[in-house]
Amino acid sequence: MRRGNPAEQASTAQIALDSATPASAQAAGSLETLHALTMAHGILTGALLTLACLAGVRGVLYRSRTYAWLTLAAGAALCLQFTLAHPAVAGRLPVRWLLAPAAETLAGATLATAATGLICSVAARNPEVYANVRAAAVAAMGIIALNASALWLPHTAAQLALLLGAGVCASLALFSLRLRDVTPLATPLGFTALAACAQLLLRLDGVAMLLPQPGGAQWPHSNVDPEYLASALANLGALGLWLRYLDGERPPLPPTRPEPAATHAAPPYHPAVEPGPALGSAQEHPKDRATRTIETLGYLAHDLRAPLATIMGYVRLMRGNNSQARPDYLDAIERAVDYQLLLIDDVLDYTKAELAPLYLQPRDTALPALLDTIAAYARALVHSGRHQFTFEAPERLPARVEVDGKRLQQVLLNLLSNAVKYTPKGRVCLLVQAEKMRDMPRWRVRFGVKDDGIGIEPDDQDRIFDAFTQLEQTHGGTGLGLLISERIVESMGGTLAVVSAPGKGSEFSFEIELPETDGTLVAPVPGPDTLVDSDTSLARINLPPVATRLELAMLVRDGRLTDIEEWLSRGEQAHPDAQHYYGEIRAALQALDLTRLERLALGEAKDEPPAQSQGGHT
Amino acid sequence: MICSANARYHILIVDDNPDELKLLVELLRGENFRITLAFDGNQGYKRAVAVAPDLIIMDLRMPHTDGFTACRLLQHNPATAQIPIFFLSATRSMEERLSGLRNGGVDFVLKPFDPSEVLARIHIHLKRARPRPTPPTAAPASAAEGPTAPAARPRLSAEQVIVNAATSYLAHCLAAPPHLPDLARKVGTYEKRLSQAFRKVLGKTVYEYLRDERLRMAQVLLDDTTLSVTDIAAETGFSNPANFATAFRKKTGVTPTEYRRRFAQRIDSADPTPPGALHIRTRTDTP
Repeated sequence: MRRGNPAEQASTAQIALDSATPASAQAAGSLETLHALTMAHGILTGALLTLACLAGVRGVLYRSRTYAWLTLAAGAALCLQFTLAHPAVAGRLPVRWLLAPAAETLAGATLATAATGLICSVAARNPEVYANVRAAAVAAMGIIALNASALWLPHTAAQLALLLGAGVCASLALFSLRLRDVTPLATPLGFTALAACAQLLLRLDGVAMLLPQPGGAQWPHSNVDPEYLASALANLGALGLWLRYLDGERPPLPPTRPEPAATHAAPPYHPAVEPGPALGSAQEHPKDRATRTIETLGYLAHDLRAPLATIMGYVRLMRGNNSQARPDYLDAIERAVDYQLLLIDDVLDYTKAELAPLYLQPRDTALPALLDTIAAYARALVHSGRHQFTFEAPERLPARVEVDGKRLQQVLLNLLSNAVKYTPKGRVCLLVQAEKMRDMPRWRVRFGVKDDGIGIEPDDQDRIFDAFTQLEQTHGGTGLGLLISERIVESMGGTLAVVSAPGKGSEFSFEIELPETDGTLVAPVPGPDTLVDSDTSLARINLPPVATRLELAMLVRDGRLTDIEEWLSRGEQAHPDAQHYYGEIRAALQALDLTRLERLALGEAKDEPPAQSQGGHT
Repeated sequence: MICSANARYHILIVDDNPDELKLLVELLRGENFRITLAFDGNQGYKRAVAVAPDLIIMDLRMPHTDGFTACRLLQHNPATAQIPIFFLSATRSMEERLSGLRNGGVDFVLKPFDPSEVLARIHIHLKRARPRPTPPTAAPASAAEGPTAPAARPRLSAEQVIVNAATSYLAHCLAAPPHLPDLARKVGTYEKRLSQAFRKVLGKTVYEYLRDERLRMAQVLLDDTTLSVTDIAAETGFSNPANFATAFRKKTGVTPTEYRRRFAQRIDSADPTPPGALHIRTRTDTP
């Protein structure tokens, strides 16, 4: 109801006032009263104009249908008010005479429609709370229509309509005043309704007779056109101030009561209902960060425990078997230890970054060489998996810049290794873009790591923190890498951002400014874009028949370890000349490297023809 | 080491760490099991459907799809629902361990584990699940055709499994359901696919399903308990009693209070005919 009330009741009052004007003017009969009424109408016109403008702007800004309706309602009321009550001004417009017979009906009908639309659109926002609004809207429309047609109705009926309108206003005022604890808006709304009620009552025959000089008489008299303008401007100012007060986040002040006539038209919208999106997220930010840190630490605890469990498992295995220390067992233990050392280094790094945010040590660095080193690492990283690595850099880069190369490398390698981890199969790309800043020996460099992996839900990208948390949760513990990278990028003056769509991959990127120490433009060192796979050597060794290898491929696809072992022992007996191939298989099986097994089984499509011919020889 | 495959138990091991896998493989190889490997939850689920193992050894934290999700999917596919799941994880959290057991796990052993204990437990579960090893339904080569190949077992479509898993997950948290992306993740899929599956299988969106389910639950509570309408609204996840009453009236045509009053009258008069257009559960329909 809150949103719907003001316009509804303002327009009720408005029309009641308008339709009653000629009658009361006649009743009063005096020129002074007429002047006062003209002044009051001027104020109302200004107020309605302000309302129409403000509601229009808000409607466009927030694309809110409610405000659009409000604009229409205020516009219609303005039109009605203008044609009815400003004979001095409106009389000069030729259109007025053309419209005169239909103007009132037209404006009244538009007003009623717009007000109904407004109320219904308010009701549609929350049908549960405003369950009765539609009924109220219909009733209000009835009263408005009655008032609008008051000129054509018998005098008694018009008076009855006025009385009804006043009753509605009074009950609204009571309702609003009861709600004043719920919203600061209720108090001005209540006063508005009271004022409207008073205005309506003044138009009643009985009351008007009791008061030979209506309430409007104390206003300054004028029939000069600039006065209309001045009063409208004053209204504009008052309304603007009031809206500003409503908009602001200040604690609710006791509302200063505006001029009754102006209050009529004032729209008590509640801007707080539509907060700007930036505001909410900014407030939640610190809490998110703390929660995320705690969650990450939880995962970290698990990650720190897991390698120890592995080590323990192998030690027990060796002790139980009473066997010699097998090299592959020792390798597994060593890997677990390495992994845990890495994690501990991460924790130390993180603590360092947390305690001393600016621990960067920028020094003069050869940028192309640094990028080349990083690309080389990345190539080594993707070598183990089923990935392709590409490195895209601009043709010209500054030869030397001042940057903490070690930290930059850490960030990029972390992003690259994540990309490899979350991309089951596909492309990982390191993008570098550099742009010289005008008139300054500085470069704006953008680094991006792109993959075509699983991606992140768009909802979770609004806040990058969620995106990180989600990555952590979806993919198991990843340690503190992303958190650390983010801190480092922040210390370098950039922000780590993510762009992603589910199933379409993600791009992590950041932009930093680097001062150049040697502005000579050089080309980045080109590296081999694609890997030469060691498996190409397959073409030169003896292979078992294709059917046998396809059987292996199917077993590998289902991960049937025991069946693969059986396949291997059968094959070794059947095809003793493919000993080297079976040796490779056994090695891959020993390492449980099913990816490599699959590659061996399928022998890469392009190798198929020579492989087949060799199989034929055996 | 190699002998006839037919009489052996088939065990699927799901773990993302190759070293952990190797450890288990070494342990189980000594017992002459047939072993199949999977490296994450989703792969584990697919391979379980494809090879129908006798027991699944599952890690909890894995990339892409974790052990809980795999377990949820396995439980809701009749082809794999009977397979005992044995959790083996380094997690210290009691909550996670309980959650694993509640989600269909038969046992939970903490890493680092003692090999002989794990073996003993595995044997117990295998014996309980399948007293005598029967020959596998298909020879290794033909059974390896993958999850797309139709088999003689009862099969559900992937959507059906997802929807079953999601609905049974929602049934436990009607009052505080997860967001759609979270729910999708819990059943090993993503938002869009989950919505599509719901529309295809149930003919309504996830939210519609949730609302209907809440109202159904509320109706059961109105019938069977003396909880106040406010309590029932809170219990079934409505933000306030008014919302609940509105939604309930929209669905059934009467307010909760009225519904309960009529239900009481019906019980009193032992009249089995339903009042108005109310949806009546099968239990009350029986004469």
